[in-house]
Amino acid sequence: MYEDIDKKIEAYLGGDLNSEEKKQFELIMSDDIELQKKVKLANEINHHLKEENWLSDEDKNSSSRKEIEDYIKSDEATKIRSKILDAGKRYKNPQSKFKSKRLIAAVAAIFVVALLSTVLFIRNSSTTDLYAKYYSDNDLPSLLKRSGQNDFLSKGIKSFKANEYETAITFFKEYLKENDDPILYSYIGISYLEIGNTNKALINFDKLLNSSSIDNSKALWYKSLMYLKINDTIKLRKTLSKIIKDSTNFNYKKAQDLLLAVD
Amino acid sequence: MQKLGNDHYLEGLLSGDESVIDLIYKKNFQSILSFIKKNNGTYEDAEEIFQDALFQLIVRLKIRKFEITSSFEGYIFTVCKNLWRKELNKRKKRVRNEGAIELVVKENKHSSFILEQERWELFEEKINQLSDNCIKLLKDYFNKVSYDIIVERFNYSSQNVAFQRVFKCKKRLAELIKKDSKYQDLS
Repeated sequence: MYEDIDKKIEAYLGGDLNSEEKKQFELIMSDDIELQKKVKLANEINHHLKEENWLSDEDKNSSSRKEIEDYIKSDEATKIRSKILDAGKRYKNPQSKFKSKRLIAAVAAIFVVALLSTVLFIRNSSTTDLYAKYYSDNDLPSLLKRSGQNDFLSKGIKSFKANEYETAITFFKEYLKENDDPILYSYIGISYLEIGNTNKALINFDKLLNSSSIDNSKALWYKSLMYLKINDTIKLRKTLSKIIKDSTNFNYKKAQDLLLAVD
Repeated sequence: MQKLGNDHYLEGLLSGDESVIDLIYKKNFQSILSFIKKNNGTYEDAEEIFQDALFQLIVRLKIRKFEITSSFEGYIFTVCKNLWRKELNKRKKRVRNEGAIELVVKENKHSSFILEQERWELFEEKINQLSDNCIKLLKDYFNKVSYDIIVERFNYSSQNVAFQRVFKCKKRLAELIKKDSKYQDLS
C-alpha cells in the first residue's frame, strides 16, 4: 500500500496505520537506525511546521547539552542571571528611583516658588480693574532673607500668604517687638487694608514712610492703593503727585499712569 | 539619531552592564508582555520568559557558535514566542496528566530550550531555502487547508498531485536539514 517509505513514515506519525501495521513498522524500525533517524527528523519537521506545537528535546545525554549545563552552573552565568533579574525588578518597581526623583522635583519646585516670589515681590503686575490692576502683594518687599531666622516672621508670612491677615498682623507685631524692621509696616498696613481697617493701614504706611528704610517711598504707593480702594480720589491724586516728584520713588512710572487714569 | 546596533546590546549583556540591560528591558519587554497576555499569560509569565530568553542568549553567545542574523528585537521576540509555546504545551500536558509531578532541573530547562531553539532556527533557515511554491504549499498543508482549496490555489490537476507535491517538498526539506552539520550536532 505504501510504496514510498516517506509516505509510510508520514502515516505512522499521523496515526493512520492500523494496529497491525503499526506493530510491524515499529518492529522494522527497532532494527534500523537509519529509519529511526528518518522518523525522528520527519517528526521534528511536522512539529516545526505545525506551528502550535513545540517539540521538546528529550535527549538528555548529548555532549552539547552537557557543555551548556556546565556553563549555566558557572559563577559567571549565575552572576549574569542575577543581573537580569535585578533589571526586571528595576523595570517593574522603579519606585526607589522614582521616589528620589520626586523628592528632587519637590525641592526644585520649592526653589522655583521661592525664586519666583522674590522676583515677583520686586516686580509689578497689572490686571484690569484699577485697584486690582495696581494692587499686588508682589509690590511688597521680600522678607525671604529674614524669615529663615525668626519664627514669628515665618509664621507671619505664612499666614499672610494664606490670606489670614489678622493672625499675620499678630505675628508681625511680635516680630517687631524685638526687631527694628520698618519693611514690616508695609505688610501690616496691607493686612489691615485687606481686613478693611484703613485707619490702621494708614498708620502703618506712615510709619514706613517716616522710617529710614530705603523702601520708604513704597509707603506712598501703598497709600495710593489704599485711597484707590476706598475711592478717595483727592487724597489719591495728592499721594500720586508726591511719588512723581522724584523719579527714584517706587513705582514712579506706574504712579504717572495711574494719575492719568484717575484724571 | 544613530540606531544602536546588535553589538551594543550583546556586549552589554555579556559584560553585565546594567544600563544596557535596563535599555533592553525598556525597548523589548512591553511587546513581549502584550504577546504573552494575549496568549493566556500573566505579567509574571512574561517576566520569566523574557528573563530566560536573555539568559539563554548569553549562554548561546558564550559557548555556542552563534550570531544574531536579524535585529536584536526580532530575535528576542521570536525566542520569547517559542519559549511561551513550549510553556503552553507543557501546561496543557500537565492538565492532561494530572498528578504527575514534574521535576525539571533549572539547568536542564535552559539547555533543552537552547538546543530546541537552535533546531528551530536551523529548520527555519532550511525552509527559506525551498522554492516559494514549496513554502506556501507546506504552510497551507500544515495549517490544515483542505486539499480542495490547495488544488485550486496551486492549480494542481488532482488531489493526488497535491499530495505528491507536499511529500516532495517535505523530502527536500529533510534532505537540506540532514545535510547540514549543525543538525548532526543537535541530534
